[in-house]
Amino acid sequence: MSFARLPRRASSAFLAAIAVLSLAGCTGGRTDTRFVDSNPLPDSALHDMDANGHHGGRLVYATIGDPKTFNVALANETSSTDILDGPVFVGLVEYDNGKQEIKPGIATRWERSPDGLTWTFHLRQGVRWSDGHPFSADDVIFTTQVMYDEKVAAAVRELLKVNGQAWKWEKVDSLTVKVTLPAPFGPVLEVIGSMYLVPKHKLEAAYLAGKYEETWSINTPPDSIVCLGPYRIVEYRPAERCVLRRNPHYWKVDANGKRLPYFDEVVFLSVPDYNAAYLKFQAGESDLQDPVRPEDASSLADDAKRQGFSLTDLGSDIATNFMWFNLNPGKDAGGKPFLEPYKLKWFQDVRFRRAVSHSIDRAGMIRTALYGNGDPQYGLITTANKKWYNPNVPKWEFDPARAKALLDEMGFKDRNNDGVREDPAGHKIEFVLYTNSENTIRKQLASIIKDNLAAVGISCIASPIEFNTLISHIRQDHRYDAILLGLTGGVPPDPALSQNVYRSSGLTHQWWPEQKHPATPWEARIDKLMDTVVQEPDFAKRKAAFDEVQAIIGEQQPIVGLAREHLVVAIRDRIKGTRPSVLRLHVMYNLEELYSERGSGQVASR
Amino acid sequence: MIPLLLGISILTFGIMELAPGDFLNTIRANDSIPPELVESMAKRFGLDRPWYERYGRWLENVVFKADFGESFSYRQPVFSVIVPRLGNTLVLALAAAIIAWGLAIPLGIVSAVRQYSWWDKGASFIAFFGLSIPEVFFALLLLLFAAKTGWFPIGGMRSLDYNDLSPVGKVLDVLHHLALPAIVLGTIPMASRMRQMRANLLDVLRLEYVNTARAKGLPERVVIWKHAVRNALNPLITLFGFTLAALLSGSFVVEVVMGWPGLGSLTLDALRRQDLYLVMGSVLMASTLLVLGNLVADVLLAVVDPRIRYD
Repeated sequence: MSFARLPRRASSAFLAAIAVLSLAGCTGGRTDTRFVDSNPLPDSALHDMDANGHHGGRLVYATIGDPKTFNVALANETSSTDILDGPVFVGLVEYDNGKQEIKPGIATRWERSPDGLTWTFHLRQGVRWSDGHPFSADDVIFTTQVMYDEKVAAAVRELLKVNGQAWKWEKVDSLTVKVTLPAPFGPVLEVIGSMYLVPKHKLEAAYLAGKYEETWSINTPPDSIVCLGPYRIVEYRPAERCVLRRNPHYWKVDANGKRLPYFDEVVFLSVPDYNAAYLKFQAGESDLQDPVRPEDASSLADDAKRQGFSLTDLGSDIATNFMWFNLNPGKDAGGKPFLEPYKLKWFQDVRFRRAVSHSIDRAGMIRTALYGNGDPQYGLITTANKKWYNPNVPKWEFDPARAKALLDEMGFKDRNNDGVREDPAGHKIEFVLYTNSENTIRKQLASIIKDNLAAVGISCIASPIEFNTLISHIRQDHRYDAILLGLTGGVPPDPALSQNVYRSSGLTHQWWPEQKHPATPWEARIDKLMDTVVQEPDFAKRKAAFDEVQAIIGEQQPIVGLAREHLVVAIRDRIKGTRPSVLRLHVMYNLEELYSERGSGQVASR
Repeated sequence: MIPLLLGISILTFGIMELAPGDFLNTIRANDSIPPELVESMAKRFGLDRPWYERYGRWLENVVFKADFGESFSYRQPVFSVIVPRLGNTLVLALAAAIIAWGLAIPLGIVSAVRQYSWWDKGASFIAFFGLSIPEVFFALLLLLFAAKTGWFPIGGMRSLDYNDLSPVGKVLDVLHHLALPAIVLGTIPMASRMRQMRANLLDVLRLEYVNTARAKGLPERVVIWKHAVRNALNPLITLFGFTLAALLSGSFVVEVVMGWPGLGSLTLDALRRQDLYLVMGSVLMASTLLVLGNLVADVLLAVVDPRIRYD
């Protein structure tokens, strides 16, 4: 048959071509260069006792999206900050995601005046930028100048203020910096740790010319980007990858006195979506899968041993899933209320919110939507937040009978036997629950809520809509009944840094943002407690205040906690030194301590 | 051409405006970014102005200064973001065109000349397969194939060791990455062109001058290649321009699914973020190419067929 001949010949030619290509791939690879430390170690290098590995190799991480900028002050979404914040740029102090505490970095030590207003930071001696230029207090002062400048859209700027007033930064000598606060502030170190230092000698000219925002874009030659972190950027190809190589002047050494970091190269592969990242991990083209979706965990576990990787369950994610009702009694420009007044009346009644919370089968959510791997959630803070989580908040457990009793007590009864209750005025108890359509888990949670509420006689219409529309409803037109969404929580997860969620005047005070005066006594109480959380320098007092905030939110249920999946990551076995944490970047936050097992060869040879 | 592009720009701008929210919505939802910053960004990007004012200003800059605006997320002039991606898209479209035409014409000829032979049936099978399989599904299927066999990389354009390869190795490496996306993109046009080639040639072979040629005693090879195929090709040549245009629009889907770093994935990403001017820039760029493709088709038509003249 002549038909068969052509494909066969074609396919053998094809295979030959592949063989040539993969051969090229093998022989063309980098030969194993021994790492030679050619630069003198700084006088007071930081000895990282957790680091005990050896040099060489490459780490590959497939992640969704591309960095949008290399200008660290402007970076505000994870595809940029994952690369810049930590791996490339560092602050004065560092935050250990695993231990959830501040540790010395560029600043070796610091002192606080008794009133908590004056802080003195002592900088490490002999530190150099990645181009070899010496680092000094001038760089710190320059960084603060840039961050406070109104012309630079620096995300950290408002954090570096107390009550809208900037902190005063002074250079005492070339290795000492003094900070004076206008008023007491709790998370000083946390904020300072997220102010990433930039080199004066490289950027001052552009800054003085008013061109700071245009510097260090993705089109900047990577060589000219100078940093203090363990890695520097050497190559960037849009929608392909961003390659980091060891910073030859890094100022940390490991337990044996060898300079960190260990890997020669770290590659952030840019992939279009989760599925592509997952395929790359399965094919051995990347070393980490972070996160592993709940539905993939079991199938991945089957391959783990054969393919040489392990799954780690990091426990409940710090991000949350919850729903809330619109409590905003305002009217739009045309005098029309955002929400029908009778609905507002239901939602404002704490018994209604508790009844809803009682009706929700969180265990059922975990079983179905989260594939059995999750935790019920009752507040805005999960167990993942080691320092701030309060376990003693009221929990309105799954109890349909109690929910029904509460609704009866409010006078909500099914008067026409259609299975749905009506309020005393005859309005059907029905509301629309929005959630963002991009999130499959939330869509499932919404439909479970719908079923759960139907069982107690409430009609809930679950309606997934696009994320941007959802945000417009929350922020701009306030036209909605109820919304199911989540908060991701920053790093460090200090509540003072997300005070806008808790304060009644806050923009992200979801259920009724930007209140002129606290609408209820309990919101007034939360406002007062948040003053303590934000301003009190003493941690124990801050914690006590925030415990009470969590208890009030649990009691009043302005937000109804649902369920949260566990965060699972997959790491190839040859990668050592990992201490995964629920805080982003879950595996790579201690990048300088990670290393490749000897003798295991190059990463994913194909 | 100018009114067409103007219309497209108004339409794109209008649709972007009708979509709820704007670029800053995602940032607004982030509780660690202070509202003061969001407002100052809105002012800087001009998002606090009404849409007609922004469109007017944008158009003015485009027409008088050839300035297509700045991308919100990259903070760069849109063209410096688009151009590298456009090159990649063109590479992919070109490769797909080569596959499509390189296979369609010989296969079409063979199946016409040996009508109802096994060759013809096989080629027809491939054609119907190509015509009926959705691009997205085919792309996913090939990705799965790549993942299972390990013969091809999963998405991307260059391997990690690219910089250490010899110039020949670099070309081979890109070709290795290009193969699957180009196959997906080339299959549909290949299938339809093949059917067209077959039908055209069959028509021509029935014409009298072919009989005349045979009657003259010309060898069959000369009859087919010199007389029949040439005439059967004519209508196809005009389609070439349209194919380029179709490949460009088709590449958007393939790029997104297979992770090819082209204009399509950039545009989709920009659309999701509502990065207004970047979307405008890429849509205009793509439309210009489409219009040019059609222009090429028209010109070819005129060149090939003397009956058609534009005055």
